[in-house]
This record gives sequence, structure tokens and C-alpha cells, in this order.
Amino acid sequence: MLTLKNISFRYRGRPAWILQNFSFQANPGDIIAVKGVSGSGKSTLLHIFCGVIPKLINGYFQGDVFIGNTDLAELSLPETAPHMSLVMQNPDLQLFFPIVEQELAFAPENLKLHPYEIEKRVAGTLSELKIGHLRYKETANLSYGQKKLVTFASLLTLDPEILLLDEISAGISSTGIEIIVDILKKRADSGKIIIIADHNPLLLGLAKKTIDLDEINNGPDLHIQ
Amino acid sequence: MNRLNLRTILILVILVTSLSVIYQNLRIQLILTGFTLFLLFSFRISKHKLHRLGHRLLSLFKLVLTILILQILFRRSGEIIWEYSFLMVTTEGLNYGLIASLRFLIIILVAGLLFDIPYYDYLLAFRSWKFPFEISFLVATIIHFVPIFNTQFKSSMEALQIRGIIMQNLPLLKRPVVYLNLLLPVLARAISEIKFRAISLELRGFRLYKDKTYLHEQKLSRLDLIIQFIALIFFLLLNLIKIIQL
Repeated sequence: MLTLKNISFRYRGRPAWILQNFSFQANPGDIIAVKGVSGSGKSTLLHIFCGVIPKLINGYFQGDVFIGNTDLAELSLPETAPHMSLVMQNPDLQLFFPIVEQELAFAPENLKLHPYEIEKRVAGTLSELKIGHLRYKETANLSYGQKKLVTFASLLTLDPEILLLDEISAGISSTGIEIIVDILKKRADSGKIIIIADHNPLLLGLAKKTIDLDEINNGPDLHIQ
Repeated sequence: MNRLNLRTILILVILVTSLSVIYQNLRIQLILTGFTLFLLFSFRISKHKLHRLGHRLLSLFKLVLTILILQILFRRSGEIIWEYSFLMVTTEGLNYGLIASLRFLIIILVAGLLFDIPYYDYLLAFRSWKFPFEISFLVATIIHFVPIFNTQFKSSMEALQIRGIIMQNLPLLKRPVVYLNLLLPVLARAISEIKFRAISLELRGFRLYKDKTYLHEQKLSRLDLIIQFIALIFFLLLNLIKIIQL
């Protein structure tokens, strides 16, 4: 369970509050869509969810985030990783290794999993996303869409309880999006919490709950549909 | 030969380059060059990699030639082979020139060999030598970003060409200014992205524990151990001979 309690945030040097006194709760199996126009604070909200704000991005922050009963403030970012992880908008910021296989193995290796389990996750994820042919390709030579799929795959090999997806559909073909939709459905059925900030109707259509940042920013109160 | 462990190859490479620096002997330099070539070709080098190495050698050929000529012309001791005005070619000059060129050639060949080995093998090799993962990771990141920076830089160059600015046509003194103007935005962008890269790393559990596991293991075979042993004995013997000769 992911709980946000009375969150307020604005960037330093900017007068406008992105969120004010915002509370929210997500339960296992929930798929939540974060909607809003560009610049409304979708990425900011995802950064708050995973603790990047206030740990690494400065601003005026108030409130509490809990994963289950654990206060996120008590965990370092690496300690957050097994619980929750984020796919950012720009895939180039998340690719560190020359070869796709290494990129996918990185997170489970950090979790000190047995090589057999790492292989199982890497092969399983590649097969699930139908990108097995990319396994030994150089990440620098991938197309933008392929890079997005690889960053998504690297999140899946980590297998956190909560998946945060920022503009995951950008640059991905319609077939690719259908595959992602299937994967997200399966993950939600297995009890994962999925939070999607996107414009794609197929992905947004998966959501049972919506956080509409346009309404939040324009209205007097917060709306969670 | 492909089955040789990277640690064995690294040891051989270190020994070859060290001997190349220690010994001012043309025969030994020729043997070392031959051995490096053997190492390179026995590593089942692909056509593509061979082409790349050929390109590297060609682009550095001028430098090798310059080293050769400078060494030949500035060494005035030994028997004179040819003389014209103040220019002089002596046996010692020729000898030193060839040694220096071969030494440089060995370095290029070795670099070609090492660059073409998959990075993951380095991670495993460094891990076996108890190198901190952070250092290995730093090397991986550099290897990964060099082609990215190169692509970004080339794109900027193309953008300049589209605007009618052709670097080759610019006066020599203006070129560094243009290069600086191209490099600065690329570097600035890289620096501004560092924070998000760090976030991305940490959210994938980087340094969650003191150590980590690896998808692949890399074990030394009996052949590796034999080669490493022979190479080390050979290296020590050659150095011992050198010390005795002194």
C-alpha cells in the first residue's frame, strides 16, 4: 500500500505550488493514471511518490509518504528500489551499460540475487516484451522506442512492488504499447501498484483511479476520482 | 583462444608492454610485435574489428612515421649510413627509430585488442582482482558515453555544415573557438543530466549492499593458469637477464 499524507510542494524560486495538502492512497493491484497538461507536475508527483523529492530535488516540501507502514523518509533511495522504482521520460538518462543484457541484469545483481534467478528475470522479461533479439545489442545503437522498452524491461527485472511510469509510451509502436498494456495488467493482477503518467489512451484506459493535476491545480480542493 | 580468460589476456598485455618499454633491443621489439599480432589474430578478430583496427593504424601511421624520422635524424651516434648537409642517418638512429615505432605499434595493437573485448568481461575480471565495483562501473560508464558524446558532437558539426560553416575552410586560429562552442553545450547538458542519472542508478538499487552478484561467472581454466605462470616466469627471467647485463 502506498500512502501520501498532506503533501505540499513547490520548487525553490517558483511561487506556484505544484501540490497543496494532497493526500492519496493506492492499494495492491491498483492502476492509477496521472493526468495533466505538459508542465502540470506529473513527473514531479512521480518523484514525490518515490522519494526523489525531497531527497535529491530541492524545494519546499511538506507531508509524508508511506510504503505499507514504512515512512519513505527513513529509507535511502537504493533501499526504496526493491519496493518502488521509476521509468523516467528520457531513456538516455537510464542506460548505463554498453549491452542490453547488462542493463537488465544490473538491478537484480544489485539485489544480490542468485545468477540463476537473474538469468530467469532477464530472459523472462525480454521474452515478455518480445525484444529477445535485442539482448546482445549495444544500447547506444538502439532506436528511441527500443531504448524506452529496454528501460521498462530494466524496471521489470527489478520487480518492485510499485511501478512508476513516466511517459512510457513515447516513441513506442502501437504493438509495443499493446504488449506493455498486457504486462501491466498481469502485474496489477499479481498485486503490484502501477502509477502511469502518460497521454496514451490505451494506457490511461487501464486505470481504476485517476489523479487529474489540471483539476487539482485549478480547483480549490484536490480531486481523486 | 577466445576461451582465454580476460585476466590472462590482461596479464599478457601488461607483460608485453612492460618488456617493450624495458628493452631497447630491436630483436625483442620485433618478437613482442609478432607476439601481439599473434594474440590479436588468435583472438578470432572479426572482419569488422580488423577493419576498425586497420583504420586506427592508418590514422596513426603519420605519427609512427614522424616518430621514426625524428628518432633517425636526432640520433647522431653510431656508424653513418647516409649523410647530406646537416642531415645524417646512423645505424643507432635507425635502430632507435625502429624500436620507438615498434613500441608505438605494440601500444596501438594492444589498445585495439582491449577495446574490442566486451565490457562485462572487464567487470568480471576486475571483480576477481577485488577492484571496487564503483571503479569498474566508472570505466563502463566512460566506455558507454564516449560514442554518445561522439554522436552528439557529430550532430552539432552537421548542424554547422547545414548553416554553411565548414570546419576545413575556417582559418586555423578560428577552429578552436568553434570546437569550444560545440563542446560546451554537449558538456553542459551532460553535467545537467548527472543528477537524474544518479537518481536512476539509485532507484535500481545501486550500492544497496556492499557487494553484489553477477549474471555471469568467469573462472580461470587450467590453460589460463599455465599461460599466466609461464608468462610470469618468462618475464622475470628476461628482467633478471637485463639486471645481470647491467
